[in-house]
Amino acid sequence: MTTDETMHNDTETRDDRTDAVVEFPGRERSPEAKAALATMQEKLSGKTGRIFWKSFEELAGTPEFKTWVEDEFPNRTVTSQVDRRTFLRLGGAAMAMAGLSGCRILPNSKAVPYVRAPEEMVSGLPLVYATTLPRHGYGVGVVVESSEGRPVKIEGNPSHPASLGSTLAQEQAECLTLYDPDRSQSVVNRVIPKYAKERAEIQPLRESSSWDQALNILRREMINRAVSGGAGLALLTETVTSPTLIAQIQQLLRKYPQARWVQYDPTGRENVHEGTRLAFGRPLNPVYRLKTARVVVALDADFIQEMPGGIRYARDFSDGRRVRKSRPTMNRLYAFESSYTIVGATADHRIPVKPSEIEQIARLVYQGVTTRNSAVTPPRGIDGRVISALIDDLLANPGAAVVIPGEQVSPTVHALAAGINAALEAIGATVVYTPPVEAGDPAQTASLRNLVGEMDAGRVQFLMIVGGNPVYNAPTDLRFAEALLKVPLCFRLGLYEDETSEYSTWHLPMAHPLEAWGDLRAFDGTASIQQPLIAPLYGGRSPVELLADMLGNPRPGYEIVRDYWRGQARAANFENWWEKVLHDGNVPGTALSPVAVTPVAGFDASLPAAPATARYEVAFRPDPLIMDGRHANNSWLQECPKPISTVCWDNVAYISPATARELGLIPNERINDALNVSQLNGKKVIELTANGAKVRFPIWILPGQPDGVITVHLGFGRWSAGQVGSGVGQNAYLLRTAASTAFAPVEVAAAPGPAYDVVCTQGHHILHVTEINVFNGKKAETENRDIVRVATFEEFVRRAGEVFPPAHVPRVPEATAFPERHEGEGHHEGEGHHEGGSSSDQGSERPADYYRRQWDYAEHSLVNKENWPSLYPEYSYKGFNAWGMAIDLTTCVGCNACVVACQAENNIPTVGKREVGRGREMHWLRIDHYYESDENWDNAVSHFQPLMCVHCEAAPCEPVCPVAATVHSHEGINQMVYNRCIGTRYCSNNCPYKVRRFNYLKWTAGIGGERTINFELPVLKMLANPEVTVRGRGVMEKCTYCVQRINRVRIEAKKAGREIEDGEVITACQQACPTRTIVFGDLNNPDSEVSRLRREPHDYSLLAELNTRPRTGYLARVRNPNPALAATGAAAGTRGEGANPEERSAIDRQRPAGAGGAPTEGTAR
Amino acid sequence: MAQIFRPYGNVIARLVLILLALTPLTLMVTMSQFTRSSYVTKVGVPYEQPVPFSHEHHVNELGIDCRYCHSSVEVSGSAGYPSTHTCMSCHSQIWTNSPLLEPVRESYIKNVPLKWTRLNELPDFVYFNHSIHVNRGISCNNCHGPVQAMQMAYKGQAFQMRWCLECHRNPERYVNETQFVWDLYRNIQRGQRADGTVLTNEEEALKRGLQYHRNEEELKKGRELVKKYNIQTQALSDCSICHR
Repeated sequence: MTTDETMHNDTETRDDRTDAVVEFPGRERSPEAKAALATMQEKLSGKTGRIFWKSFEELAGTPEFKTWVEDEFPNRTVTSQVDRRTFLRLGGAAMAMAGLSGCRILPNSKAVPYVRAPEEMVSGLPLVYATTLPRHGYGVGVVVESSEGRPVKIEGNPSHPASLGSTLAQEQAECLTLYDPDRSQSVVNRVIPKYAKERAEIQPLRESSSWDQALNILRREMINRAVSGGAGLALLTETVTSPTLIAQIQQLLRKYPQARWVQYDPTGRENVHEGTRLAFGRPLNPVYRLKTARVVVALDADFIQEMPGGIRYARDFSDGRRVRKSRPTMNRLYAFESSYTIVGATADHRIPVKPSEIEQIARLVYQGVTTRNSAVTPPRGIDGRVISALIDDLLANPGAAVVIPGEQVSPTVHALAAGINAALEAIGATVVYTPPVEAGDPAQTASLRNLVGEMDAGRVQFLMIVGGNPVYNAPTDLRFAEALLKVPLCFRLGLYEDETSEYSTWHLPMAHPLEAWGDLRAFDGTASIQQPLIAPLYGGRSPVELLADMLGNPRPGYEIVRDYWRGQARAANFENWWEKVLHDGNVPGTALSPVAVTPVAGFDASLPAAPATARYEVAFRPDPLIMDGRHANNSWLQECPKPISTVCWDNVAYISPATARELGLIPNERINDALNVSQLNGKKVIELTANGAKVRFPIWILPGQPDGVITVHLGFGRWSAGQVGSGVGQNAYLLRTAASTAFAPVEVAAAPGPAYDVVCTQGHHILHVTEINVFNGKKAETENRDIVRVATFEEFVRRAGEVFPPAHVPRVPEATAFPERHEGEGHHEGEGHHEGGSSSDQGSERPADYYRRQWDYAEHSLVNKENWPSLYPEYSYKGFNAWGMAIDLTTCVGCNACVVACQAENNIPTVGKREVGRGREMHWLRIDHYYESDENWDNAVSHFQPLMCVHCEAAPCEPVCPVAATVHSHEGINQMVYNRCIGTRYCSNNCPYKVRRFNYLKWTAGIGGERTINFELPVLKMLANPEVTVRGRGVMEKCTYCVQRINRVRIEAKKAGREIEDGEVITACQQACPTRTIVFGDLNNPDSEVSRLRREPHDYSLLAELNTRPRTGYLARVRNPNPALAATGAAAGTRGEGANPEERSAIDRQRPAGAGGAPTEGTAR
Repeated sequence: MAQIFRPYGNVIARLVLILLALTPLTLMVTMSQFTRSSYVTKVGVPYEQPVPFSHEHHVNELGIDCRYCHSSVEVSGSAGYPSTHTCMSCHSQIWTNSPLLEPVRESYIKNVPLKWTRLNELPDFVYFNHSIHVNRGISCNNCHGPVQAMQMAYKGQAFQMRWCLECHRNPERYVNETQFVWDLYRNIQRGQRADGTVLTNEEEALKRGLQYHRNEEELKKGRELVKKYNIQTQALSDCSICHR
């Protein structure tokens, strides 16, 4: 089809849709609009197959979207209209000044050596220490790189069971929290007047104090309390797993028997313990062993981001899905979800359900599994076939199936899951139960309620709050803040002077985990020591030091922790043992041993009745990045796009398209939806009324969100989080009561008032435009570039991995001779590169000797599998390390660990919400999220695709740079030379992958706003990785394949006179990845892991038809839907109506764009 | 009417024209020479330091190895400055009352570091690694000038990029056996090599801080070393070798 036709059709389509706009919330539409709708419906009705799309704007083909995509620099802003003369004047001046910038008088800076150099410190070499960071209060072993005494980068500890060398985003971002200038820096004393009822009344009475004064009062109070055995004394902590701290608290409770100890975490694990108590008679801690699981069922369980063992679970789970030609095995994941999480996106069958329905499903599965009968009668609205197939699947895999209930689901579900696991012989195989890792009363909410009762009754005179933030996140019906005002003396140890500090008489700064000694237990009980990397920056003290003070025995944290372990270690030589424990980062033999358990007979009969299902329910989930709000002041996490919705700097109310229609938020016209949704998402506000409270959220229509469920993320709407986190998003805790911590019935109403502005990155950096068009009398997509390739496991096995079409170009016949390569050719800047678009010449008309000009490298190259010919002489990378990367889309779970790891490693600035809205986010590595659906997108399937610079061998960015600021290295790295760059942005414009980022402003100086990172602040200067340049304004930047890490390894290898071994160079994203999705290495080494992966039959290059020859390759996503369900048309999960069309064999599809001609019939997918 | 211009006006006009033509040229030459002058580059200009430390005395007269103070030069990107403790390892025994060493003693007693003025400073986007250069036999004097002869330390080279590239493009002109780096000062001190022979031309040149041009035979040796070291010459001038 010709371009003219496309243009014509585009115009037509655009007009149709513009006409059909119906204003919110819906009104009578004009006859013209109805006619237009009919045309659209007609256009779509004959279209079969699946489409991949990113945003509603794209789906609707709005003019704004087209302008955005087609604009050379959509994210620019024109600040002034410049006429020709002014332009010449400024240009001339700039040119003249440019020469001057080269002249400088060198500064006389000072070199300040140590007075006594620490023994282990070698100037210029980083030191690496093992330590432990808390995740939901449980330990995750990490190793921290310290450069000249400053911690700069955190990695997972390979020898720690909760990490295995990986982390999630929160661990990666912890360095920023460490240096955060908003952290509390002094002891604060507040006189809380008796009449105070609100924070406004106590705010002005704040005065700085000192540790000495605070501790004097504390000690005096502790001595006074001893007389009465601690009556009136209460200790409120978060979930405590630290063995030392537990021992101290127990000692405290022995010394003060009348004192209370309460633990509270808003997303704590009390339901887990209560559920196991129902099933087994005592609270237990389930530890899943997913490595051997063939069938995994997640019951509203985000077992990656919301569980303490999430990093480990992600690794074990993905190990069961690394599909290779030589190892075609794959586990299967069913996810029943009330909110769209990354586990659901990864699942082979995702069934969106209401939170209240999870229990019914658990009962059905329990019933089916225990009676070994898969015939079920599901309640209305739930697809029985999926559950029947699931039960069959579970029964067929005894000992290799496991049911994982989410942390927040009701105890009944936990009990039933335990019953199912027992019936499936899973206990001892895919799940083991250990005694609880934490100490104290597991019923956190109930004990907090009791404490508040005591506080209200005036029976608590002295409260010590260690960590946590109960004023902000306690259930609202407990009215914790009001009760706190009645406590005459309240000490609060916290990292930030936050909401709880405002209501406390004393605020004490807490030391960050990287600043203080301590210890933690992991999800399986393994203890590890937390050793500090730096002395407290802001004079903080650790909980163990404070507890020691309360016990009347103040000592440094080091002594406290060490003395505790001296009593525990069963080693002949404690010093050696201690050294080894510190070095390895875990205490050997401390993992809790599994207990043999069988469910209590008849436990299922006495379970509480299932909750009533409300028409609309609100589900409360911790935010995937800032969690329960504790990371709210971390701009790396705030700016990181959330999985699925890619919203950043906000929380929104996720709502399903059907529910939005039902509520009249969008008109009930299917065809027009995308346009309506695009005008509605993140702009309109709805008011949620639950438990007597009203909160307004911007609306976010999310395909795949269960009908009747509004999901809101906790952790936002903080008023005293710091410069970054205060006032970001809406406070969902206000809707949450002690009786409904996971979900609540809700009333939804469209809220009048001004439009909101939520920013998301879903529509930025588009590689692929989905347009539904009519051409050649047939209906198909105009542009299908096969960005994401998906196949079923069954296809993979049947076709031995060849799951998508082989090369479009016939293989070149074996050439007879290749010219010798010229030695010392030097740079080949701009050489061998040409822009994409060779799709029109198919190669068959080439002269025979053309191919002789190809070097044998290109001939056998893994980056040019399809053997596209080039107009330019080929270039050989033989004799060098040809760095390349392989990314397995099957195992990518979209957790964002790589995004934040890249940010931490490469000094990537944050730009703030406004600039993200302009498409100026600076992440070198982004996780593209694609929806896959047919024209009914209500239950679209999600795909993640991590994308950073793919380091094209024939990089389109290089020939267009007028100053050669981006050139190729001999190892095949597309280098970005900041000091040469003059900021023309031609490279970005010419990059088909849209991976280049431009410093429109001096982001590194915090120009994006006060919520962004200012590397020029003295304390944040310490954050920057000294191995990477901090970029200034007007400079282009992009992924470098972590060239600083390559150089470090290369220099060491050269010094040792050896080659670089496979696996020696590990990029930051690869190192962080919990699922080992990213593999980096040398493509010229045939035995390297990356070469092996690139040789897999399902490896493909992104936009290979442009002949850019990317060094990064992708392994097609393989999904493993239950064949029993695929046969009945219910594959890919979802509730019946959203079922897949008949599975098309992928090999029959051809890529119309790549083939360069009109596509054959039925080519769309 | 009288003439406005006298005949000599022609001369003035010509002069003005010539000056107009010459001024930009002169300016350009002056500017370019100015930026290369030691006033800007500080090459050869001794800096004031808190302690008048003499490399000449310590290296050439006493024969102390570079690595005694710059201890990380073989293993790390940074050569490292000596801690006060390193100074005091000798000066707690000798010259214990020297007034020149008062700042050192004060630093040691008060635990306040000495603040030396840096001579060699690279821009923030340049990453230089001492260890790999030293391991390839690039002597200290190649870059830092005749260190063993400096009473007060001064900068040996301007460290402009084309100067770096001269070696990165032709490493065979500069590489040596690793031991060459450390033997150099002993040889210079002795005035002859360990085997009794006179200093080589290259050693003589390095001793004076001069650029040495190798002859064909030496270049052949250099090329062999390049091969032995597995130096990939083309890749050596890739941008990301130094900029990242």
